[in-house]
Amino acid sequence: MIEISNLTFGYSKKKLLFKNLNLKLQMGHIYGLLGKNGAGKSTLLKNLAGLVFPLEGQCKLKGYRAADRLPGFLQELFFIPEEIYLPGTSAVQFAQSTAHFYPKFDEGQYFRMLAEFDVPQTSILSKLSFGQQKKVMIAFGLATNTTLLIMDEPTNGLDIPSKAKFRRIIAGALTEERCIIISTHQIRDLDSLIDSLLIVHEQEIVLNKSLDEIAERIYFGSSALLDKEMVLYEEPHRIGLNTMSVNHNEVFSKVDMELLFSAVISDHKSVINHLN
Amino acid sequence: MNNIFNLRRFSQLFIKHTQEYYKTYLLSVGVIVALLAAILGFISYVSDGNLGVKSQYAIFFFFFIGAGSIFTSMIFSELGNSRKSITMLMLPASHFEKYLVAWIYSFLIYQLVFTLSFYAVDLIVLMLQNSGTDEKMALLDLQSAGTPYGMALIAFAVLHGITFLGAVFFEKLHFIKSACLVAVFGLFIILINQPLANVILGVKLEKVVPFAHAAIKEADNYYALEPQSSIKPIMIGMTYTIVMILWIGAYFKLKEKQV
Repeated sequence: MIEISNLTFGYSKKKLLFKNLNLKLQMGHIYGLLGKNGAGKSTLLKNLAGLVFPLEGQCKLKGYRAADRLPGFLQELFFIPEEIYLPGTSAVQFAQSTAHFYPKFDEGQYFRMLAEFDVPQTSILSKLSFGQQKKVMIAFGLATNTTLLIMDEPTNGLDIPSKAKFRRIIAGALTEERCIIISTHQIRDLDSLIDSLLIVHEQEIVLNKSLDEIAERIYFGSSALLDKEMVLYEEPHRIGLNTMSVNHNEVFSKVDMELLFSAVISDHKSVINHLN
Repeated sequence: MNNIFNLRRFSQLFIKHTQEYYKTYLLSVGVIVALLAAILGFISYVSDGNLGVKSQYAIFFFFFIGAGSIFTSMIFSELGNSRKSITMLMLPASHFEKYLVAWIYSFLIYQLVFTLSFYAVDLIVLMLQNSGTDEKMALLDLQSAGTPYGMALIAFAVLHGITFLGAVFFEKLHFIKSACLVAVFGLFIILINQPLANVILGVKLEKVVPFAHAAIKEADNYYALEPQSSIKPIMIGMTYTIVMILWIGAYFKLKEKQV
């Protein structure tokens, strides 16, 4: 289990990004981390990875404190930042020199994913396009089979067919012993991929719910079908309204993450209160 | 699992570092060899084949500490680039192992490679120089009392300690910033040295060289105070203690590195 307890963090003590933040993440889930620009998504991920140190509180993974960055902790975590660096070696040489640091690394899985992403195995990585480099990093990260896989804006630089492959590969790589966190501002890229949603807003995690829980409590639809009193949030689109309403009748609807995110960041407390 | 040091993990890290940087290091060795050949050859040429041992030692000394300081200041250059530093810091090896790889390359391997490169170039220059004359010039002997390796090593160790810490501490322009810091600190020491020595000894001194020499002038008599030779090991010990403090500081700075 991944646990953040009483985390207070800021690049300066006067301007805090998080204050007394608490969060528990469970194995076997793919979390989507959403937030406005500057809300602190990348910073939260860096705190989890031990790349920045909290002013107060701590992040823990399997009993290891993230800020200590001990080998036992690093073996259980793979972090794919938004901007990546790969050395001037081939994908094969990269695996030969780096894979043995990860005890659960699966070489077959790595090469299968490279093939699926159409990445040449013998080309020099530093000379590949940004999108191709990103695919190598995603394939390597998944093949490490670490307990926690953190991806910050992984779909940046990927073309449309690669995004579809990315969703398929990620979904196939999830196991009960693994937790994946994906941060993005392109919410559509997470469609049919994540099963839990985290929204960071104004120094806090305002939402940490599975999509099933959200769908149980909120009905996503159009205004024409709804009792106006039940509407929690609505947003106009070209031919009508998108709405979120109390799901009294327990009717299943697909969670509109974009709409939910808009409601949360525009301070519609009724939505958050209803969900929490 | 040992989270501080594991020989297998350290070996893997050392091999990985070597595989990723051997081209850069080989290129650096090539540059050093070319520069040494140019300077040793030039001096031999302009002095009509009189490249003596003292000249060889002076070139060895200044190249050794100069090139070593520049090389050391770049050994943690990844930490100045957020993309590279994330890759480095997230690799499952301990801070100590990462530190040790950088230390071995910049302190031990550098000394070995530089000394071998110097002797290879020096030997060729002397062979060419001695081939046409009867008066043969001797090869530099770093074990001789007049041209000791120990003196070059102390100077290099101090500069290594400073630039090693600077390499972790500064994010960019490691060498220039470290050199500026040394210059400012040196200037400060020079400025306070004489007044401080005057206060300690209670007389107005004519000249003071830190740890080495003080001169007093009374009437027309000039007295030179020099440390006894028995104090030399203490001074060497103090110097290496400072170097150790700088190395330990670099380790803790690496441990606390944030991206």
